[in-house]
Amino acid sequence: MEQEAEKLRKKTEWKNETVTARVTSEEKEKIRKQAEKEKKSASQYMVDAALAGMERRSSKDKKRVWILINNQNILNDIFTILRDETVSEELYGKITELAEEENKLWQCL
Amino acid sequence: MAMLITMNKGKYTNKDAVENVIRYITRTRAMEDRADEQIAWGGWGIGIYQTPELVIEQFCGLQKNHRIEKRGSRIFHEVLGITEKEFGRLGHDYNRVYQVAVNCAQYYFAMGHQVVFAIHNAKDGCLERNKGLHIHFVVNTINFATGNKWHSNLRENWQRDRFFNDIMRRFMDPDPLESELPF
Repeated sequence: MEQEAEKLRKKTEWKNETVTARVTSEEKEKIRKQAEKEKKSASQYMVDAALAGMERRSSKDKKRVWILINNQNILNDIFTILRDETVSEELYGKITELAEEENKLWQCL
Repeated sequence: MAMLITMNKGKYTNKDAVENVIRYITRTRAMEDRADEQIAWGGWGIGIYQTPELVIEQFCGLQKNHRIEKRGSRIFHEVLGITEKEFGRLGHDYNRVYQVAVNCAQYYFAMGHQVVFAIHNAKDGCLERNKGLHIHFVVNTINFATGNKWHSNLRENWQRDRFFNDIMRRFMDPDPLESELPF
């Protein structure tokens, strides 16, 4: 009875499409070992990893953007303070360098 | 009472929209001849310690990340016009006007949108729709926290107008006429 229910469940999740990927022998071995660890077939492991990666990337992106925006506001405050206070040239240089490196991160979006 | 006007003449959907409008309000266009109208500029969620090029890059970077090409307008543009009387009650002090602009711009940022503002004092006889003292707000339509688009209806626009006027009143000197009233 349970086996029949399982068969019926599998029938309703038709997997009609195929995705093919060419890999090196090392990559294939890595995938096989990881799939074995998780008690999955290699193809199921690859599908699960790809879908999980997509979700993680999008939520990581949002976090990354939020941190970038927050850092901009902090840098704005720092430069506002620097306008009124005298600091050493070295310190000003380092802060400017930090701001420039921060700006580069925007190009990585 | 200051008036908050939405600039809806242009749709701001083309890829140059962000650069064109930010350069317009920061008076950094190629053949700029009205640079003297600008008093100051600033913003939230963007770097204001460098040139407007950085702001343009940061607006566009966020929009590219959320695939803006098929999502309509790239920016939302509003102008807060301040009357001569109100400027008088602000003590003719541009620092106070700047504080008004910072606090108003924070409204858009709190809703999750990068914003750049610029304070202009247009010359007499200027053809620009907003003569005299006014503050431009240019808002990135993409929400940096959710990726959703900016949306605002008439009611929200009206509420925002009132909120900005309340902010301005906080920085104003009391009205001498009002203080003479017995009640």
